[in-house]
Amino acid sequence: MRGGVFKNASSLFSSYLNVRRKYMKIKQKNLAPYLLLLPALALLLVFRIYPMISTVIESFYTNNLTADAREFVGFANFTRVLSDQIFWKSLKVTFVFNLINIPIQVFLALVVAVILNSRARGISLFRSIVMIPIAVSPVVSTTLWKTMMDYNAGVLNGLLALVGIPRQEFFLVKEQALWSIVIVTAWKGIPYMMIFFLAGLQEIPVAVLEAAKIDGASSWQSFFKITLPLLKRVFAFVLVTDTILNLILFAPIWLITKGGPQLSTNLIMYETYRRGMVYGDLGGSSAMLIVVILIVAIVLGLQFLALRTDD
Amino acid sequence: MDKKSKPKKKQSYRSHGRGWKIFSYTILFIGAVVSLVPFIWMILTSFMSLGEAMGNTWIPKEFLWSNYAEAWGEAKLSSYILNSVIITTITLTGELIVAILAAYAFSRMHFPGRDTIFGILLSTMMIPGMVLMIPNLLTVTWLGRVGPIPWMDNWPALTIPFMGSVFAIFLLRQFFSQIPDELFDAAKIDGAGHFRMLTQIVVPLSTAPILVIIVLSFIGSWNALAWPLLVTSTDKWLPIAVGLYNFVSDEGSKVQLIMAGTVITIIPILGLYFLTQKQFTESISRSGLKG
Repeated sequence: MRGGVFKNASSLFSSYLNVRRKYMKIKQKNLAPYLLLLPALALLLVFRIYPMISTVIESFYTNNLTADAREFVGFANFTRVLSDQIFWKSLKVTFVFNLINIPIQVFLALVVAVILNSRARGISLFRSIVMIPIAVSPVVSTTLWKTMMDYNAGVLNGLLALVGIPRQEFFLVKEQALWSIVIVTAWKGIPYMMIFFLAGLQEIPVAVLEAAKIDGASSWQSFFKITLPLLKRVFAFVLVTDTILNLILFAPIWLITKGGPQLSTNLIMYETYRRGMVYGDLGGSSAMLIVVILIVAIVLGLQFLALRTDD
Repeated sequence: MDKKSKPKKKQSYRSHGRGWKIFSYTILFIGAVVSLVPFIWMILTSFMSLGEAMGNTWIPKEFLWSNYAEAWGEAKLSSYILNSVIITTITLTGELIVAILAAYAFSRMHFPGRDTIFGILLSTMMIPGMVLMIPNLLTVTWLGRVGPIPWMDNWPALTIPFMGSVFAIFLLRQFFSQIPDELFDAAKIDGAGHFRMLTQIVVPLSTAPILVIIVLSFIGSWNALAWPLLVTSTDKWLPIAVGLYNFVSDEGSKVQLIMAGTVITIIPILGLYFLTQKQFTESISRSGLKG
């Protein structure tokens, strides 16, 4: 009988150990992924998500930099920004800029990618050359173009003179400044977007195109009926990326025109910066950022709707 | 039969016709010229005298190597380049470790909330850099005050905020989940834990995407301007992009020196770029843009 109790106790103990071991194992297993994620989550929470929340909060307070003097003002910052003529003008400039810039970049990127995807002679050399601008920083590329498009000393005006076109003022007059910014951004933007099209084109099986050819499809037919539909996802990716990058474009404006002349290149991100950093209106600047993010989200939503795939 | 099908196949590769060929070479030629001309002009200008640089010339009468010495000295490029090398190395190391750990959890582990957390992380890619500037500046100042080492005008402010890269996590996750399960089953039978699987299977098999991250982050870190401009107040940790920017604002009229300085700063990037170009384009195409 005593032996029985002892036996019982020992089996109880061992089963306790078993349960405990299992529990520890589960616990360990459950914790491991979170431990691995911890550094990433902490960094992104502190340096990306918190700023976003803080911007939302900031947009409801007065524009004072000192923390104790700030005051809750509700939607006052939003109404002030939304009733500002300069804000609307900046928004208009941003839309005009992007309605020209994004289609040009996406279309030319696609054309160049299709050409570079062929097996023609010397293609790999051209591939390397065309991708060079990607490696260059915005400071370098804007400095280059600013100098090249200078009215007096610019080499571009020298080239134009060779073909008998008079000097252009480029960044100096409001009729040309925005177009000049389009050139500067496209120089880097087209090759960048081209990479993704090229990657997408290389994933299309050659066999499909060969089969179409045997069935008597012309090059144009197989491009529009096969290649383009198969590129739809990449196309959506490129369009969305290019839209985000260009709606919030800042560096070339900051480095070349500072929004001028006569606010003709005052893109919305630069206006946000001007309001916050130059005029010290942080509340208004935050409200404007929220509006911009909402606009970007709406535009992206429309693009996703338009490009929605059934698969 | 064989004789007939052979030329046909050859033709199918070049069946676009003469018009298309002329068109494509024209576009390529224009593209190459537009991509290259600014570089050639920059390099030529960097050897000119001031007079030549200001007047529409292309070929300098005499190649002035002294411009490089002058730019190197005046722009203090040597110390800035060293700063940038240190900053880039720390950022890259941290970013890779953080991203590899997170991508491993997202791709090879099952836990509650996994897809939700990943979705939230992905959506933060949409936040414009402008939103981050001021709040992060305040955060970094505060961290420096309460922490053991100063953050402002020091390496932590220049590196740690960039270590959490959603792009890197996303790219690595796509690759890690493509690795066949059989490899992991085999390792499990051998008694390997997560750490050994990570270091002996996942990382060695993912050199291509890691290389892509290294190249893109190197370019990003090397070229970062606005944030370093905000968090540095002395020369001690000033990176090359800010140094070049200051040099451009100070010496705006000396075009030839600016171009010499610019050439010096892009040499490391172009070098890295050409060394890795093949793997770079290959791994982008394999990175699963398809989702």
